[in-house]
Amino acid sequence: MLELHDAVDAPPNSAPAKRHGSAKSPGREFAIALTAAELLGRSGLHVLSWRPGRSADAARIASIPLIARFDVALDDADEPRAAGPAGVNVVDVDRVAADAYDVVIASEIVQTLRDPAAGLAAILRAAGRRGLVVLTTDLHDGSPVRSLGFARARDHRWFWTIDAVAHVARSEGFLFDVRLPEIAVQRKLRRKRYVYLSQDPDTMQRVRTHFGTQFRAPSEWSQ
Amino acid sequence: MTEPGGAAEPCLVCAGPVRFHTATWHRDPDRRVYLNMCRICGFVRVVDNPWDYAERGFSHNSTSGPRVGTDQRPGREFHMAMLGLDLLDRPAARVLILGAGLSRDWSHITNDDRVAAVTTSDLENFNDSPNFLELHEQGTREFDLVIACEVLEHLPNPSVDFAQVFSNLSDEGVFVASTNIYDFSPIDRHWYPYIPGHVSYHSARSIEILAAAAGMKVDFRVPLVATQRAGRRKRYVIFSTREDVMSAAARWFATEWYAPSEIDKRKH
Repeated sequence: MLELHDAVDAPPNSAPAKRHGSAKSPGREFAIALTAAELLGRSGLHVLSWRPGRSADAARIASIPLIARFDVALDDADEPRAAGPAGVNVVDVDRVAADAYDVVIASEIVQTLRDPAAGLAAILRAAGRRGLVVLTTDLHDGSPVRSLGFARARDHRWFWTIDAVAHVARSEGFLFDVRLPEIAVQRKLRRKRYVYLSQDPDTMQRVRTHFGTQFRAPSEWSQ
Repeated sequence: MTEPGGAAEPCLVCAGPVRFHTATWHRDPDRRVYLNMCRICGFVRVVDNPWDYAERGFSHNSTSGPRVGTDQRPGREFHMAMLGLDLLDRPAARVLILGAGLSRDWSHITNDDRVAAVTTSDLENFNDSPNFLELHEQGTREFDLVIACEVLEHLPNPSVDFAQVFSNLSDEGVFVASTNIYDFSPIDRHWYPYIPGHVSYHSARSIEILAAAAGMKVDFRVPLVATQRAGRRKRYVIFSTREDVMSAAARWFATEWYAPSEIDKRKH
């Protein structure tokens, strides 16, 4: 994993509005939540979104029939609008219950964590034994970092490799899988990936089988 | 409509109830196939669509195009083997190519430093392979990597036939197959079941069931050729008993978009 020393001095990333969704169109978190619900295939799901930022997907996620509860984990710096409408529960990111969620979504978060290993471990611990964690980030592939916009984006402190993700996953007893999201192809984001993690081998098999018929992992609504 | 050969039997994979369906090719009303479609696992049996390659020779689909390797140019089996060897991550691999047909990829794979020997198996030794395994000899030798390119759809009795394929694998081995996966979209528009010899059209779930019966984990990956001529339902199917092989596949696709195939320009 690479530490990005100059990140906070760099100009803001071109924050893609579509990723966050809007009143008119679903964003990436909704696509992730829907796919997770489909592949887990059970009702009464408890779903957590880890610091969803400006995501406008809360109401849509809460309305997915298999989802019984939708929480968002925020810290003091987060905009309260991420919590969305009534029915969505806000929890303190430092007080997230362990083993509590069937699905944990961490979209474009792991590159911003102050302590990357401890932060990723905390995200993983929120998932229950059969739970599924879905991360989205760019994974470094050995290309010169200076040439990559992702490394210069505001608040990006870390450029994860899959080996770094695997190291933390293994230490927490998690298996992992990596899939190509639709947005990577649409916007030529060469290194964008979804990482699926679970302690449960059967859940990981569900992920793999899901991609027997899913060409790429769904992402923000394309227009 | 009455099914040729009598009433529909239970699903050959999960024993679930099947629905008999006649599919008519949307571009030719005289081109039809009879299907037993499982309501549970999605496995599709194509009724009365056999093709004996030893008797009738190879169809145009099996001999033309870049999928089939020649002496001058590697085909899909070569690229599947390169992926499999990456996942296997061990030296001196013993490789078996099932249903190799006319492909000469055995010669290209033999040249890889990680390979000890390449054996092929088919109805006959169509491709002059120096190491040939008769079909009835399957299971008598162990291989670290088994490749089956466009073979699974030709196996008429999946439970028995998959077990036979798996019997060629060492305990630590990897099996990489290439096939189309039925995705429950309108089947009248799927060319795959109309191809002579295609008697089994698998869903991801039917393959998962067959893998689990043998203690195998299974992964599905999109080959580059699926973005072009082979279509969106083409997958490489990776079988192994080892969780670390599944992790190796995840690592491989952390830096690559698609699995390598016959249109791949990379040097191996």
